[in-house]
Amino acid sequence: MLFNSYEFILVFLPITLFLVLSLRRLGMVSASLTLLCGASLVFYAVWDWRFIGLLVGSICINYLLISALSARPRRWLMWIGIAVNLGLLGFFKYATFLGENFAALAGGSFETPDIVLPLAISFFTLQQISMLVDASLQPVARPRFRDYALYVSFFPQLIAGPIVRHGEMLPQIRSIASRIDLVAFAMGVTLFAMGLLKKVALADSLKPYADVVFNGAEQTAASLGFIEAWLGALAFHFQIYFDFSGYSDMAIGLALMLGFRLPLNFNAPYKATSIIDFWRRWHLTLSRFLRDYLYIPLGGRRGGLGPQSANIMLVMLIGGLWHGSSWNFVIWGGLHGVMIVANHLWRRFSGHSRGPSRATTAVSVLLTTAGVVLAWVFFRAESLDGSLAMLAGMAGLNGLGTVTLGEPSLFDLAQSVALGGSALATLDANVLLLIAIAFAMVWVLPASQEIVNYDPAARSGAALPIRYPAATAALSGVGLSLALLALARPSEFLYFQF
Amino acid sequence: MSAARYIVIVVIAGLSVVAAALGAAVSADPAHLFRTPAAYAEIARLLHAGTPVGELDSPRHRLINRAFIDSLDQAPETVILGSSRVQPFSPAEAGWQRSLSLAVEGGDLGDLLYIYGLLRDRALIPARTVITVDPYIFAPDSHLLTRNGKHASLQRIVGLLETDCIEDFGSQIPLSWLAEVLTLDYVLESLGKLGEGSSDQVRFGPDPELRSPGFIKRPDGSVLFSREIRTRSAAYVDDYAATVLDHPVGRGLAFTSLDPCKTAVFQAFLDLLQHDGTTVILAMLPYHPTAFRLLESDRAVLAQVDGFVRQLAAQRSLAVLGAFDPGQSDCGQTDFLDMHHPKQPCIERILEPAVESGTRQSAAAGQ
Repeated sequence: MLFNSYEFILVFLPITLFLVLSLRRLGMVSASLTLLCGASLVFYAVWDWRFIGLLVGSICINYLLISALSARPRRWLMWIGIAVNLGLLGFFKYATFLGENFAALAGGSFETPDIVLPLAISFFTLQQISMLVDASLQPVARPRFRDYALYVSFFPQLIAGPIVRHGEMLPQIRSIASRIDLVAFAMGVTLFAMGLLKKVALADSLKPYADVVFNGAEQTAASLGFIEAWLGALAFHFQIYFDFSGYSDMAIGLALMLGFRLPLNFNAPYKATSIIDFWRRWHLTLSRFLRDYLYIPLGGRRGGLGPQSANIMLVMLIGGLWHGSSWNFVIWGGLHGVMIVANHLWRRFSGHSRGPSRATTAVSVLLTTAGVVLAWVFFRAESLDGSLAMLAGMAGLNGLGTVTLGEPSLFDLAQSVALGGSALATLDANVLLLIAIAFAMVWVLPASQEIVNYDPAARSGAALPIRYPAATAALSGVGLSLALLALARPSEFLYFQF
Repeated sequence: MSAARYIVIVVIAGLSVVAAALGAAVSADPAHLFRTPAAYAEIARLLHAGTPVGELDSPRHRLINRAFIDSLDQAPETVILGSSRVQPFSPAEAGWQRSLSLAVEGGDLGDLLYIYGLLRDRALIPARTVITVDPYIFAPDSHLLTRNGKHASLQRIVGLLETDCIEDFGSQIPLSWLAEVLTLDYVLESLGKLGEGSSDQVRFGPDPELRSPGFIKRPDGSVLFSREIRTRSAAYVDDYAATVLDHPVGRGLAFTSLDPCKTAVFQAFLDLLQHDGTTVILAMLPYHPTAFRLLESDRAVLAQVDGFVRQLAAQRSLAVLGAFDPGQSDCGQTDFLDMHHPKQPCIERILEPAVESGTRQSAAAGQ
C-alpha cells in the first residue's frame, strides 16, 4: 500500500488512527500497541502477502538473538545475527548480480534465477543489525516481543525508512501515554500534507521528463543534446529529492499522528556547501548507520588521511551497493567517495582563515550541486552505456540539441499517444518552470521540519510550535486536498526499490 | 492557537477545496458528464443527413460517436474500431455500404470496448466489426481514457467479459463520474473552461467546401485531417518521421512486452464479439517506411503483437489483414500523412478483402 494512494489515505489510515487512538483514549494502551503492530503487518501484507512470513521470521530470529545478547553480550552471537541478516539480504538482493559477475569473470553463462526482492528488506535488515550490534557492545534491556515487532514493522517507517534505532523507538513504545497528543497530531498532519504535495506536485510532475530523457539515453546513445541532457538530469535531481524527502516527511507525519517521533532523514541537502555537508543532510539515518556501524569500526579517521580515505571509499562503495545490485550504484557510491576524499584534501590543504563570503558560499553550493547531479546520472541510468550517453550529452558532445519550447499541439500529442504514450515528444515550458520552482524551493524555503518546528528529541508542549498557525493550517488543508485530487494515478516511491 | 482549532482549520480548508473542485467541475462540465450539449446531437443530425462537419476539437470524437450511435435507427453493416491511425479511412469513399468508422484518436482497449458497448446497449450489433489493432493497446503502463462519461457503458461491457483479469482491468476504470471529477487534471480543466467564459458551445459547422483548418468529421464517421497535414509532401513526411523518431526524447513505443491482462481482456472481447454474431476482422496498419526502419528497438514488441494477433485469429478462424511492416502491406513512402497515419488508398488496399468477404457473406445471407 502506498502512502500516496486513496486506499491508504481514505481507508487504512483513518481506520488505523481511529482504532489506535480510541483504544489509547480508553486507557487500553497495550491493546493499542498490539493493534498498531497488527496494522503494520497488514500494511505490509497488502503490498505483497508472500513475504509477510519473511518479515515475521526475520523479526522472530532477531528477537531471539537480541534476547540472548541482552542476557549476556557475546560477540560471536552478534556475528551470527549479522550473517543471518546479510545472508537473507544477499540472497534476495545480490544473488543474481553476483552470479552474473562471477559467470562473466569465469567466461561462462548464468541462468538468472527468479528471485523477487522483498519489499523493505534493505531497511528492516539495517535496523535489526544496528540493534544486534548495540546489544553486543553494551547491555540492552530485553524488549517485549510485541514492542520489538512494532519497532521493526512500524508502518510509517517500514518500507523506506527513516532507519530508526532501538534507542529512539523502544522507549517511546514503552512509555506511550494514553493521552492523545493533539499538538503532535497537528504537526503530523502538516508534515504529511507537505510530504504528499512534494511527491505528487513535484516529484511525479518531474518524473515523466526524467524518464523520457534517461530512456532516450539508453536507446540512442549518440544524439542526446546538451539542453535536454541537463534538463533530464536536473529533473531527476529534483525528482529523487522531492520523492524521498516527501516520503520521509509523510513517514514522520504519520508517526506523529500516532504519537511517535521518528528521526529526521533530510535537512535541506541541496543547500549543502560541500559534498561532506551534503552527506550530513541527505538520508541522514543511512549516513548515520554507515558512519556508526561501518566507518568508525573500520577505523574512521584514525591513522591519517590515507587510511581515512580508504575507509571513506569502502563505506561509500558499500553504501552505493546497498541501493541496488548494479555496477551503476557502485559507481555512484564511488564517485561520492572520491568527492568526499577530495573535499577532505581541500579542507586540509586550503586552510580556513575566515568565514566564507556570500559569493564563495554560492559557488560552493553550485559546485556541490553540479557534483551531485553528475553522480545522479549513474544512479538513475539503467546501464553504463546510458550513463555515458547522458554525460556525453551534458558535456555538449552532441551539440545543444533539438529542443523545441512550447506546448505540444494536440496532434503531436495524438501522435505520441499513438506511438505508445511518450507524450513528451516536445519539451514543454512546464519542465523549465518546474525546475525553476524546485531550485527556488530547495535554496530559499526552510526545510519541512523547520516550518513545523519539529524536533525528534523533544516532547510536545501545550502550545503549537508552528509559526503563523492559521495560515499554515489553511495551506495544509488546501495542499492536502489538492494532493488528493492529484492522486488519480499513484506512483511508487523511488526508495521502495532499495 | 490550540491544536484542536488548528486541526479544524485544516479540515475546513481541505473540504473547501473539494467543494470548490466539485462546483467548478459541475459548472464547467468539460467532459460533459452532467450535460450533453445539444450541439453533439446537432452534429450527429448533420452527419446522418450526409453533411461533413468541420472545425471540431479533436478529443470530442467520443462524444460525437455517442450521439451518432444514439441516433442510429438500424445496425450498420460494418463498423471500424481503432485509433486515429484508421480515422482517415472513409468506408463510403471505398464503396462500403452502410458502414461506419467509429475510431477515436488515441483509441485504447477501453475505447474499443466502450464504443462496441454503446452499439450493443442499443441492440445495433453490426454484421462485421473491423478492429484495427494498435500495438500500444497492450502496453503495460497504458491507462484507459475514461473521459466523456464512458464509465457506465464501459463498466457494463467489462462486466460481460469472461477473463480472470477483469478485476485488474476494471480497477483501471474509475468507479464513477465522481472519481473522474475529483482529479486535479479535471479541476484544472474545469477552471480553464470557466476562465474562458465559454459555456457548452462547440465550434462546428457544415463545411462542404472542406475549408476548415481543423479536423472534419465525415458522414461515415471517418475524419479528414487538417489541410496542413493532408497537403504534406512525401519528402516532408519522410523528413518529419526521421526527425521525430530519431530524437531520443520522442521516439519509441516505450514498452517491451505485452501486458498479460490486456491481452486476456482483448481475447475475451473477441469471444464476446463472436458470441454476438458479428464477423470479426482484425487489421494491422503499417508504419511509414522510414518510421518502421527507425523503430528498430521496437521491432521485437511489434513482432510480438503481430504474432499474438495472428495466433488469436487462427484460434478463432478470423481474418487478419495488413501488417505493421509497410513492406508486407503494399504501402510506400507516398502513402502516409506522417510517420504512422496511412492515407486512404493504403488503408483501402489493406481492408479491401474485408469488404469483399463481407459482400460475399451478405450475398450468401441474401440467398
